[in-house]
Amino acid sequence: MVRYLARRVIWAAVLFIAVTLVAYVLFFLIPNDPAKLVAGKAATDADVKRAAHFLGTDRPFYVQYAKFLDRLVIHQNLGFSFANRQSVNSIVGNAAPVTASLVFGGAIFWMLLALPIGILSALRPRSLLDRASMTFVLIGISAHPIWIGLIFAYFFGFKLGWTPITGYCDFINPSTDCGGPVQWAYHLVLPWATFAILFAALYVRMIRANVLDTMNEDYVRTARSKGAPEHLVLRSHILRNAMLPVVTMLGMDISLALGGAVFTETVYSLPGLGKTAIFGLNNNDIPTVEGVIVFATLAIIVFNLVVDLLYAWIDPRIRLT
Amino acid sequence: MHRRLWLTVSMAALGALLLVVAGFAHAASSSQAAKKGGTMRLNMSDTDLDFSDPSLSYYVIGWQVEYATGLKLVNYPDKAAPAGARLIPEAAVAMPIISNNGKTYTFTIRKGLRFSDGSAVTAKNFKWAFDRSATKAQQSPATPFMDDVVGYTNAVDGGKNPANVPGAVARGNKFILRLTHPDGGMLSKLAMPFFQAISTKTKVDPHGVTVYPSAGPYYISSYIRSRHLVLKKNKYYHGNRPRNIDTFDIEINTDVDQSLLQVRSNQRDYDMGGLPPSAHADLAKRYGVNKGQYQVHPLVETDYIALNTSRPTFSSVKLRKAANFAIDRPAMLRVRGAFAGKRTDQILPPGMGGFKDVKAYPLKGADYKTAKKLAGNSCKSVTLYTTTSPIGQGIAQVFKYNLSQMGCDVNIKNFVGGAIYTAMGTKGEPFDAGVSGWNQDYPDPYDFLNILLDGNSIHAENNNNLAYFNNAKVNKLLAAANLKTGAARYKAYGNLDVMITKNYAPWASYDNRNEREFVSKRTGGYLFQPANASADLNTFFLK
Amino acid sequence: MALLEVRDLKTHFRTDDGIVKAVDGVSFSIEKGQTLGIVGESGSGKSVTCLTIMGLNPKRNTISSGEAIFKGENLLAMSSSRLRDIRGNDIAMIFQDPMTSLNPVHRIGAQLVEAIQLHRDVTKRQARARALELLNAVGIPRAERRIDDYPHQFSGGMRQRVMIAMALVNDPDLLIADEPTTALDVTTQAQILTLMTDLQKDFGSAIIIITHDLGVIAEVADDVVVMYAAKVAEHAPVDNLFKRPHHPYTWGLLGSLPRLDADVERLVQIRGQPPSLLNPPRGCRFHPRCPYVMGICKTVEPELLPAGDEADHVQACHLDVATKDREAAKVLAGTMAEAS
Repeated sequence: MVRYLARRVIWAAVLFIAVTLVAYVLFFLIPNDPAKLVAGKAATDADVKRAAHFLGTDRPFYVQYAKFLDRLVIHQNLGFSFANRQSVNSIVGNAAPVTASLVFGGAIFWMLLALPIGILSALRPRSLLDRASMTFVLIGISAHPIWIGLIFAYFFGFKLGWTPITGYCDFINPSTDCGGPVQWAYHLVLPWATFAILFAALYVRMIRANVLDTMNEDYVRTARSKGAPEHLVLRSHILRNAMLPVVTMLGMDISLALGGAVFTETVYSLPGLGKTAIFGLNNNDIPTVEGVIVFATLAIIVFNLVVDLLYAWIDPRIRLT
Repeated sequence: MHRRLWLTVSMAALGALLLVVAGFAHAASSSQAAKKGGTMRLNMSDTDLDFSDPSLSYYVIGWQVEYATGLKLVNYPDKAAPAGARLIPEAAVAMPIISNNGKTYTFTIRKGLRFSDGSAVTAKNFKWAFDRSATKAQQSPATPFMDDVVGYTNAVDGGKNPANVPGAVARGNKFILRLTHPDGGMLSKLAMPFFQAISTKTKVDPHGVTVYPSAGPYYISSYIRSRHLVLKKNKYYHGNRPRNIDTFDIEINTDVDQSLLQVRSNQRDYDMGGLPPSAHADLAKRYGVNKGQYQVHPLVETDYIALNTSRPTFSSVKLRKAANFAIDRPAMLRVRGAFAGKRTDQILPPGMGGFKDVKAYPLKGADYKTAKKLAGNSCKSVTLYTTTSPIGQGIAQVFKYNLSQMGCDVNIKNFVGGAIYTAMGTKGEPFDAGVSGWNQDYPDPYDFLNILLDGNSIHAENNNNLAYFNNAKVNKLLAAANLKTGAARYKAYGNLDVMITKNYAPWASYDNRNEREFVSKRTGGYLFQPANASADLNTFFLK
Repeated sequence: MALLEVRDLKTHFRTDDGIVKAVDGVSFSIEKGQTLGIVGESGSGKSVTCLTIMGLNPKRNTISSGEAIFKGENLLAMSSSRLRDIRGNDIAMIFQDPMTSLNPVHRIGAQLVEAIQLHRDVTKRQARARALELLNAVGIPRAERRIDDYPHQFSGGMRQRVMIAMALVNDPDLLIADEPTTALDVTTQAQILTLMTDLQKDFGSAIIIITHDLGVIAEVADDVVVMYAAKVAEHAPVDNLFKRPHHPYTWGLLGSLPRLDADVERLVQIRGQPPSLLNPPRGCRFHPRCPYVMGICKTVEPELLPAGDEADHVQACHLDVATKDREAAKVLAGTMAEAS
């Protein structure tokens, strides 16, 4: 267990260096000068040079990267945004709960959709329900979240008025004029649904396939031969096992979903990490983008670790070595 | 999106400022008496203030906010054009006394002005605006504007914190500004929010203060970056500028499409961030143009193709003129969508002081016959720089086709966002033509003609003279024009515009853009403030 | 009355390619305390026969007919809830692969307790005590400590002991063991078979043991059914079968008895592949592989009839008795010679 953790930490460090370094290098390949942004449109050469010095962009990129690492590792400080000079720690700190709300809420949403549909269509293959779910899957996999988002917001938000069209409310400590769990959930219903559709579609297929596979397992036959009624066979023997790979997938997909969150956050004006990253990219704001990358990398590393531990806990066959 | 001027989306934060001298805007057609009070809910789609700090804010939306919060020595009144584009004294009792051959400006500060925290506004607060912006640690983008002020640049370079600008003096109720030489544009510069009254409690802060006392009709009561901005009435304000709404609740970085739905359904009242480019035709059809909700007003802006005079192809004035005959201006304007603007063939936009409308090149479509006659067989290959945005691509395609008709072989090179300006701004960059645009920073033709076409200002990098136009005669005339003031100044610049356009054609100008805005049904008092080139928050009221 | 009497059992599966007649008219019976062996190659229908009796075939696309009378009730015609009462209680089953037949995510104790509580109204504690008793009975060392282990912590042989414990936990009248030793190594096989015969004595259950290994049959069975291509080829008391096998297919099987001195290769003596049950051969189903094939074999399906004087020894082959005896003697002699 200790060896396992040590190995994970070393691997995480390598991953972390690679990801942040690549992001840095990419930024320096783009012929854009953040100093010009800071100095303003009317700036003279001298103004731009002064701004570059202020930002530290007059140093070679490896020096900037070394400074970035030093700040981050020694002081846990992500620095300051080039675009608005705010502490990147606080920028990321404000955005992270929004993305977490979206991703975890979305994951719950997609599981709530995918579990019953997947199981039912496995129990009744080729039935009407199975075919209908297949259609849903096809739409979910094919349609882009931005498109779905626009459609949902137009119909449910604008035409029907069932939900807010867009916006975000804090769960606790509202920073805007709305807040609290109810408003939070109310404003997130459409984003969750939009975010969840793609994954729900994939999970319907996966759960269906897993349940169908597990139904043919020998131990399920054993359970039946013991005289166990179907509901017990399903619950205690089929689902318990069919869900094991789903848990692993869920762990990986939630990491992956951080990427997908960009679209949903954009279309629903959610001030999360994705939107922050896009904003940073548009403004050539390396510290903010690196901040999001660092945070996302750490989140994914930690999350994968948690999933591994969880998996070891629910599947007695797994030993972490 | 179109608010992000200078052609591209990502140049937005570069702070293309919109201060317009005059426009053809109609006064807001509201005969209703303004009701007081209430909360107006605004969005700010796809963008945020760059800063709320008065010494740092340098972006059109920031200035729209600070027009409501700031108190300046001189300011543009809350009126439609032309009055709204003419400076009047605000914190000063009258326009300044200008002495010492135009090098000393003396302002007398009004009594009884107060910040939103109740403290009094004095001449020291204007002095502090200068000192704060000149403090190196503040790293303010205001510095390029004040290099004519005695000791300003030295103060910046000296690095003292806080700086003390010797040319900005507070003496009793007088604020005195000393210049090294006369500057006809100085009053316009003083109307920039950088130089508003700043409380001495607002210290130097390189990261920018977010909430601070301000002396205008409103103040920023809360600001969470990328999330939320709240403006509240300054209860200590006793000036005569209008103010109706109690609270502006502004949602930041919203999505432009969803935001439009919200305004249409009266959930929000106005989007400071603009409208989806595809929405205009439909909005005009549904709500009419300038009939209340959908508003279209011209900006003081020119979109053009810079013709690089430092490279072989367009070093030929004949070819530059030929290009001006060949381009199809209506087709280019159509790329920008409905009500996007007005065709032009000149450098100065119609709203700019001194503008004289002349017919130099065809506005109704390409004139290939004349173009071919001028070009002969001399046009070979042309490298065109443009952006990857749909508009950048559209303009480039029209240009490519137009120039192919006069025998040019146009190669298009694409750039993402603002990278095109870094590239084109570098001397020696191998481009023959570049898709570009310019909004005035302050309402003076200097900001167009001298900034963009003075050959003496060409340096290695960060050039604004994208045509690399360098003509000794023109350089001299530009310098001479800048020494003039008043009507003579406008006349000189107006003539220069015509002369450069007709004789030298360093640009192929094609349009002057419009500002297009949309407000909710319950919103009254829409006023297109021409100097800000945006809606005036002060005049808004709820019906 | 027999404990279980199977009459003309047919199990057909509907597939995309057509109907697979996996079991096509099988009859046999078993008495209390007796052991019946069913032997045959993979796909001969022996497992499906037992699964049909247990009602464990997938419901969809399965058509079963015939009768399986267990203690006077037809298992094939009863309600599924009544069948559930019988399953695991009166009839229990153990399966071929102990590695996959236990649920990997439940502790073995829990799996045994579940089997008990499904049929007995006892507390968990009582059930656990019973489970422990059975684990001890099947020879799990230190059973009281291992009862809370997971299946993967046991070896294959130990897992099969657990399976047997689970099957016997409710004291069934009939135990169906589907290839209980196939997946195990030779030493363990012997132990498990010994265990089963020992337990049969203690518990008094009848056993149906399914195998493709005549060696196993010889060791444990009283009665043998040889199945080929969904049908019974030969059915005889065990001694009779081994002394006087009548069906060429049985001869082939006898030739494939594993021998300790040679590589264990099964069924090498029978050339060719078992026929497709989608489209079985006309006539005798074994004729394409039969070295003694005659014209009649290709057209007329042989009936299951006594060969010679023994009424309890039936077989389905067109060969005359004399030829059968002669050839059987050769086969047996060869087997003995090689074995010695």
